[in-house]
Amino acid sequence: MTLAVELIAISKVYGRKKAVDCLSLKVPRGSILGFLGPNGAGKTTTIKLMLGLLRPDEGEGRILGLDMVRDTVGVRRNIGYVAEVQQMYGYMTVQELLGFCRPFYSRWNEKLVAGYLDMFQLPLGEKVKNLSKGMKTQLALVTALAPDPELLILDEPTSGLDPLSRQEFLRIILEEISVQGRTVFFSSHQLQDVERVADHVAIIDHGKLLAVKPLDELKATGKKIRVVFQHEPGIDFLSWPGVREVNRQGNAYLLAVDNYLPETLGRLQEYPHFTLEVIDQNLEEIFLDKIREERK
Amino acid sequence: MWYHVNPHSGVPIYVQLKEQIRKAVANRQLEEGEQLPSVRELALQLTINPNTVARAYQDLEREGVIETARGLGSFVARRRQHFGNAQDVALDQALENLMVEAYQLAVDAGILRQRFEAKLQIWQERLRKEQGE
Amino acid sequence: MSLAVLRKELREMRWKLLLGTGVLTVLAASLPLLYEFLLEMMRAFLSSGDLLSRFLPAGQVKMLENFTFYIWSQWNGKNLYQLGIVFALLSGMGLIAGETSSQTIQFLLARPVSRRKVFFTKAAAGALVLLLMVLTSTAAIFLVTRFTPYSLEAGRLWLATAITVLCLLSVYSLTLFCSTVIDDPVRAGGAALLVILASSVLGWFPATRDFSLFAYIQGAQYFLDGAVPVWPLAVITMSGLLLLLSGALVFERKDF
Repeated sequence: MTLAVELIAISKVYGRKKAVDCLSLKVPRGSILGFLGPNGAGKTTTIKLMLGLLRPDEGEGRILGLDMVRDTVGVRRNIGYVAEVQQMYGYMTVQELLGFCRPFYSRWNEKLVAGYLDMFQLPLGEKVKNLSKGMKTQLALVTALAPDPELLILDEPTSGLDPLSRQEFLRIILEEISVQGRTVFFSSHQLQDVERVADHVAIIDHGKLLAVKPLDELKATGKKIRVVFQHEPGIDFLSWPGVREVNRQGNAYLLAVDNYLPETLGRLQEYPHFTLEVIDQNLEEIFLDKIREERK
Repeated sequence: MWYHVNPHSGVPIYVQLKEQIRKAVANRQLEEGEQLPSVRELALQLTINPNTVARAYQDLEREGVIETARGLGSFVARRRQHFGNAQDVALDQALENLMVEAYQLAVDAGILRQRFEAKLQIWQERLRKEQGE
Repeated sequence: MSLAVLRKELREMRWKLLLGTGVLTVLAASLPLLYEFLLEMMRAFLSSGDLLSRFLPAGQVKMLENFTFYIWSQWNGKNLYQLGIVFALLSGMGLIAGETSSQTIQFLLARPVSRRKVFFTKAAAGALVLLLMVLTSTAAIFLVTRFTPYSLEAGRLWLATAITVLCLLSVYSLTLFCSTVIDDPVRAGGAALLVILASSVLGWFPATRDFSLFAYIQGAQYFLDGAVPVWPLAVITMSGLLLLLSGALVFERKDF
């Protein structure tokens, strides 16, 4: 498995605040990584470090096999980037902006540009500053995709889009990923978007990485068991392997189980109970759980 | 056939997709030899990750539900007479689930056997009728 | 140098270029045309025995009889250096700070181009604009002079202008440095202006006069005494270069 992104213990400090705190992260090539975290968690800082817009105070990273700090130009040659608030040269027209970007790259996919301009109905002669927020995002996406980048970095790309454009945007990302080997790094707090398209998920809070896993695995392991006993069993469930959290209301228990799900179920069955069920956790619940646990 | 998934559910999307296709094959919504949409097509149609679709297809292929011909696409497999290992494991799992469910519902062995026979009969009749058409 | 960046910078500065060139050229072109008028006025003053004539030192009046001296005193000695400083501030202040404050810098720096290249291209674009303003307007003096009966000592005037330009470039370099350090164009320009004003204060006192930029910017030592102040000019050039390089270093390390 080759890696598109490999961050090794990077930190970025602003004054006393650690915006990114010893963060290590691996993203395999060809995957769509959903980079999740509450506002101010350090998502944008991490992305800016990857792009060389910020310098890490500690740690190192390799992006597409190149040193993130020393070969930042080489890294950017193969990255398409859409910022959260994309400030482009407002006085330029759409056409002029594309013309400005083009000479920086050795590849420029005219066909793709023409296709997307047509699809988004972006007015070529219109000044960038007169475009709606959604159109600006679309234009930024076109400039990001035009050089056929190997890695696409999107910082909260769908935040300014209406549901229809959002769906369209996600579909484009999927279309692009189907080109072999292309990787997408996609920060968002729109969990529904991430749930749809991501195959890997990284969760970050207070600059620290809390989890990074394939989404299916995250969903498969983060389960809860609800059990209502016929009479109080008097067991310390937390001493059981895999049991992470116990909530109790009378004889009803809610156990958060990370692993050992079948084993735990088997053990519970030995106690007389009324109900015993496994509750699947969706991404939002897993996400909130992880954040809550971290902040405890 | 209409595919649909609920990304917001706690069940992984590839599992949802797998279950759906298996069910569709079992109740003849998908005929033997019928072509499935390509990974890319289905991913775009459902706005989900192509890797997720690919994973569901791979699992289904291993379980013998579908067959993939290189360059041609994926097709619903002819049901084999022989049980492969994967089918064996899958059947065992399904039976296990049934037992667990029955246990939890406090259904005793006799009733379970009765109901199983009845259900099997209904199912076979349905299949026979469809094949007769 | 990045051609794409250069083109963009020149485009962004085109109004400044037009304004600067326009204002300076109009002033420059008017100088030879006003010479006759000035001479007549002075002669009238002197012959009338007016009270005012006492305040005009006879030496200076005599010098004004020399056309090249007149042009130099009005151009290098007044308009060019004064407005030149204004336009050096205007050319430099927005180059980096303008893009930092509007946040377009992130869009620019996300392109595959090194920061060093971006910085020096921007620096070159601003310097080019400043040079174009000065050269066009100074050339206008020569052009208009052709339509008058007077003639200019071209070598002397150009050399004096070169000295003025050197000093203006170091002012520009200072402004660019401020624009890199301070993330707001107006404040960056203001900071550079403060330094310039401090330097002009030094020029007021005989004891500190030699340490002021304003002692050299007109090229008076050369034009009046024929001696180029080599060391002071070397120091000014070196400070300009040093500011430019420090600006580059700050820019390369800065977080955006």
